[in-house]
Amino acid sequence: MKHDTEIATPSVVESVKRPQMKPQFAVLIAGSIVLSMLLVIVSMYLYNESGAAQLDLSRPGYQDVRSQAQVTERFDGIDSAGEINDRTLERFDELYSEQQAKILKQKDGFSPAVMRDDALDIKVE
Amino acid sequence: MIFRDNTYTMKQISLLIVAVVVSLSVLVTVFGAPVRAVDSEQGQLKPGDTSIYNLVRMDCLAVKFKLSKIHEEDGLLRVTLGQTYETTSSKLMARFNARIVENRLDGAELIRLAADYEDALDTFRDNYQKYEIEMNSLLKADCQSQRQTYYLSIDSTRQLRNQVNVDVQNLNKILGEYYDAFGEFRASIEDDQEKESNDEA
Repeated sequence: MKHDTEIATPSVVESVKRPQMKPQFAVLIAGSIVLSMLLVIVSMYLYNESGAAQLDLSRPGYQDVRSQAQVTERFDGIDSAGEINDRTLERFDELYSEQQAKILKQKDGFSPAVMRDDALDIKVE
Repeated sequence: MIFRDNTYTMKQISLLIVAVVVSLSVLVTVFGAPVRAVDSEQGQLKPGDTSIYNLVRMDCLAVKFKLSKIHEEDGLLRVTLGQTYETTSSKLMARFNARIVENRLDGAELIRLAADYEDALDTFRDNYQKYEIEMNSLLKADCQSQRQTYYLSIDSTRQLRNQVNVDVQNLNKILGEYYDAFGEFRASIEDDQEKESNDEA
């Protein structure tokens, strides 16, 4: 009867003590990390360059105004196809005036006055 | 040593992974950060610049607090105003102009104004982006030790914000012109309809 045993030479004992790992596994782990880091760099670049960063109220520094950004009602506008008659013209007039009124409520948007020296309490001599 | 045999120890693998992660984290920090703090070497004004200002007095904390409030409100305004500008362009102007073309009517002025509006909207977006990036840098810059430079940065941010204000006024002006042109277009349609009904009579 044969016994499936190995003679316990020093090299065998050493290899049993140290867990072994194949190189492909190391490459897989390192490769996954490299790829995910590269994708993070690309997506951060696109996020900043596209202007999405300026519209992102979840960024730090906007916490006080976040709640004021209300979910607006869905605005369907008018259809792009169809005839132009009195009803269409009336409808367009109504919708356009409504949008224009919304915009003109904030016609002093980005007013220069708030950043003047006196508004920031800065004295220059 | 590593490449002589086919297998690795856990310790070697871990060291390799840590080395890769650390080097890539440095890369991400350098290339991913959208804003950099003001370089302290750029700090003080050079002797030739003394004509600018002799003394700038400001409470840095108070100024930064006010600037951060302005930054917050501008962010909210950009979102709400931007939404309305976009919907007016895409769901009203563009669609109405498409209808004019489909019905083979003369709406050249409306189409021209819609194109001007789109250009103005692009300009607004670009200028706002520049202003916001500058404002972000300003909020993170050192005010206490570099007061004069900080004041110059406030001034340049102010110029960018004024430009955004000009863009908003321009957009509102084009909106008004489009509405006037729509009024003339509507009047011409009604005139044509009246002529047709008179001819039939």
